[in-house]
Amino acid sequence: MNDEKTSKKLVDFLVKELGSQKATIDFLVNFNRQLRDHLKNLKARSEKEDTKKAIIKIRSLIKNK
Amino acid sequence: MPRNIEHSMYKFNPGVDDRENTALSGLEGKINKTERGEELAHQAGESIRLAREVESLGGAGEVSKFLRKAVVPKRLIAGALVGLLTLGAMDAGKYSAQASEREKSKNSHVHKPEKRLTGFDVGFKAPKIELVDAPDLDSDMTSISPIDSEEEKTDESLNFWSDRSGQAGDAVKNMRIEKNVKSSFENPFGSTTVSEAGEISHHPDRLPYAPDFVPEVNDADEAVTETVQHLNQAVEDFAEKNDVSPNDVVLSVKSISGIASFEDRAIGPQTGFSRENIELSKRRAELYEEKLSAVIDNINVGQVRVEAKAVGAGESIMFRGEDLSEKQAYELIGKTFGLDRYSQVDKLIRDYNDGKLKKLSKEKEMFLEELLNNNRGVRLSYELQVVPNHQSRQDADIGQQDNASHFSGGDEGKEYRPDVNFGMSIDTRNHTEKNVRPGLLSRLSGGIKKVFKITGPELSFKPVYKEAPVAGNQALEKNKSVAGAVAQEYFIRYKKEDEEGENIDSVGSGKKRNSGDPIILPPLLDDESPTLVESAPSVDVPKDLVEKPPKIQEEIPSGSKNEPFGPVVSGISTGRNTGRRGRTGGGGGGGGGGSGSSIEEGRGVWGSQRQSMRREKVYGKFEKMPRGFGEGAGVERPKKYARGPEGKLKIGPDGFEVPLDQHPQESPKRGLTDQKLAWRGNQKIHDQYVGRKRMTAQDRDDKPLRVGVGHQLLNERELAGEMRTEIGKHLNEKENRKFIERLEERDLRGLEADYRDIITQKSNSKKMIDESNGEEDVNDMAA
Repeated sequence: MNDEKTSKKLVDFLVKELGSQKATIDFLVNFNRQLRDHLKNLKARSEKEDTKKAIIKIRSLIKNK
Repeated sequence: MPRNIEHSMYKFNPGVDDRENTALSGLEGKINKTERGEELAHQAGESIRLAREVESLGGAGEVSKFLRKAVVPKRLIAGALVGLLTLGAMDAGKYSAQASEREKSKNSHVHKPEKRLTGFDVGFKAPKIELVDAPDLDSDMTSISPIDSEEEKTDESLNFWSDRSGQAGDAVKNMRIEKNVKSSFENPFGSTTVSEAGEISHHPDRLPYAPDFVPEVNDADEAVTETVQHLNQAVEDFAEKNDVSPNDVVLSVKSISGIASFEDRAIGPQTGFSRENIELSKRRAELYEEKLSAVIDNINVGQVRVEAKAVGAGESIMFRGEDLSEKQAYELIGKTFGLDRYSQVDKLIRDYNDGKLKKLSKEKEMFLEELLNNNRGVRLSYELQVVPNHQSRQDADIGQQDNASHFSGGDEGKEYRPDVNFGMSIDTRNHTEKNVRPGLLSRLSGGIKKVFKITGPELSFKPVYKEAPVAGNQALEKNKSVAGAVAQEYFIRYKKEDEEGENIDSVGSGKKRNSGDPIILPPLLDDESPTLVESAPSVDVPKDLVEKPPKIQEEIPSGSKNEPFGPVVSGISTGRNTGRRGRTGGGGGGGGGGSGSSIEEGRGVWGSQRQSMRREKVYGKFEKMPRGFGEGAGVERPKKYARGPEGKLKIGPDGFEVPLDQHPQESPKRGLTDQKLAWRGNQKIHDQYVGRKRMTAQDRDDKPLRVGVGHQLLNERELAGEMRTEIGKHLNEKENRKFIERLEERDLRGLEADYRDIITQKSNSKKMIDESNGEEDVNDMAA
C-alpha cells in the first residue's frame, strides 16, 4: 500500500517535472536500467568480498591446525 | 514487435523486460493512456524496489554512490528529488544533502580554471604544549579522615551522613572532611563540593575532590541521595563478603565519577556485578559529558570522539581520539616542532632515537616519546582520562588489579585515607586488543598526573597557484616582469663578457667558449621542488645556481630505459608506427620517433589506434553512432561519460543531459576535426605533465635545470619563450620564425654568434637607458 503511494507520488512528480508521461517513462526506464546495473555490480562485488573472507577464514583454519 | 517500428537508435533487446523494450522503441505514442499509466506505475515501482534492494545490500552509502553516478536530468538533481522521491520509501532526508553535493561536483569540472601549483604558503605556528602542573598530593587535596572524638561525632555540622543508618552509615558518618584545596590546577570539569554543613557548591575552577557526588548542581540532590544509598549498600555488601566490619571499610573513590567507580570496586567483578550499578555508572558518565566536551576542545589531535563508558576501577570516563595514521602522526610532530616537511620530521625522529636531540623541553620530549614509542605508524589514541590521584592508583592504567587491596581492613584501616583526590591526565596509549600497554600514567610516580595541554593554531598548507600559461606570447607577456628579468640578466652578463673582450660562456663559469659552442642558458631549479612563497618578487638570480651549466639533453630513442616517457620532443601527430617496441606498453604516451610502446608485447600500435587512445585520454571512450541518426550519423563521438571542454550535449530522444561538454558537432569551433580537438587536449596534457616529467627524468641528477626568480619558477620552456620575445623584438617575421625554430629544436649552436648584434644592441640601449636614469653600473641590476 505504501509502495503504491510512494510510486504514485513519484510518478506525479516526475510527470510534472518532465512534462509528459512519455518522457517520464523514458526517464524511469533509463533510471531503472542504471539501478539494475548498479545492483548487478554491487552483487558481484559483495560475492567477491564473501569469497575473500572465506579464503581468509580457510587459511586461518589451516594455519591453526 | 514489428520490425518497422523499432527506433533506429535503440536496438530491440530480447534480454530486457518487454515493457522496457516498448518504452525504448518509441511505441509510447501508440499505447493508450491506461497502458501508459500502468507502465508508469510499473516503472516507478521498479525504481523503488531496485533502490531498496541496493540499500539493503550496500546501505545508504551505496545508494548515495549510485545517485552520484547516475545520469539523470539536471533539474531533477537540483531539487534533490530523485533521491527524495525515488527512494521515498526509505529515509529520504539523508539523501538530500548528498544530492546537492552531487550537483556541485557535477558542475565542478565546468569552467575549471587551469592552474598550476607553484608552491605552498606554509603558515603555522607551532602550538604550545604545556605540562600542566599537578597539584601536590600531600598538601593540596582534601582528605576524609575518621572523626575520633565523641564531641565531633555529635557535631551536626560535620555529620553529613546523619540520615544514614546502620553500620555502613556509621562508617561514613564518622568521617571528617578536610578541605585543603590550594591547587591552581586548571580543571575544565570544575568541582562540586559538599561542605561540612552539607551545602553543595560548584567550583568551576577547582580541582574536584571528594566527596564529589554531584556532577551537576541541578541534579545535586538526586545524585547525593542516590549515591549515598549505593554507598551504604556497597559497603555493607563488601564488608559481609570479606568478613570485616563495615567500620573498617575504606571508601575508595576511584575517579571523577567516583561513586560509580566505588560501586564497581566495592561490588565489582569479584563480588558480583549488578546491572543497576552499571546503569548508574553510565548515567553518571553521561552527566559528565557536557563538561568533558570542554576538554575535547583543547585536544588538538585528530577528531575527538566521545566514548563515555561505564566506569570501571581506575578506568573512568574515557575520550578517545581518532586513530592517527602515520601521516597524521608526522603532521602532528611537524606541527609541534615547527617542521613543514616530512623529511624534516624523519630527521627529527632519527635524531631523537639516536639521542642527538638536545635542548628539548621536558614536555616536548615526553610528548615525542609517547608518540613514537607507542604509536608510530600504528595507532594513536588520545585519551582524556580522569584518574584518581593517589599513590595506590598506579594500577589505574592497567585496569582493575587487586581490588581488595584498596579496601584495607583491620589495623590498616585505622589510618583512613580514602582515595578521594583527583587529577586529570591526557594519556597517550596504544590500545589494541592484545597490547594494552601502560601509558604515561603508570610510568610516573604517583600513578598519574601529567597533563598535556595542546593549544595552538592548525597547521595550514595553503597551496599557491599560478595561472597556467594560456598560449604563446600572451602568457609570456603576463610573466614578463619575472621572465624578462631573467632574460635581461642573461643579456647583461653576456654583454659584460663581450666588453671585456673575452669569449667565455655567458653565465660566468669562466670557461673559454669556442664559437659554435652552445650558449649556456641560466640553470633552473629542480622541477619538482616547490618554493616557499615570499612576499615580493625579486629579480635576483642566485649565484650558486648559475655556476653549473646544464646538460643539453640529447635525444634518446623512445622506449629506452633512460627515456620512459618518450623522446624529448614528442611530435603529437606524427602518427608513425615504426620505432622500437617497448616491452611494457606506455599506452600511446610516446609520440614522434615511434610509438615506443605497445599495448601488448610484440604488437605495435597503429597510428590511428594511438590517435584514438590519445583522444580517449581527453574525451573518454568514443562510440560510433549508427547510420541514419540525424546529424553526426556514422561519426564517432564521445560516450556519455566523456569529458571535454565546456558545453553540453543532449544524447538521445530522452533528453538526458550528460556531463559531456563539447561535441565536435556542437562546438563553437565547428569545423575542427576530432583529431584536432584531441590534439589540443593532448597538448595541454603534454604541457602539464609530459613536459615536466621530461625535464626531470634524466636531468634530475644534473640539476639544476630550472631557475627560481623571486617567488616564481620558470621552466626551460618559459625561459626560451622569454628569449624569443626579447630577441624577437629585433627580428622581422621571417627571422623570428627561424629563431623560434632553433630554440624549439634546441639547436643552440651558433645562436650566440648569429644574434650577437641584436644582443649587443639591446644591451647597449639598456645601458643607455640605465645611465640616463642615474644608474652607476648596469651590472648592478643583475646582482
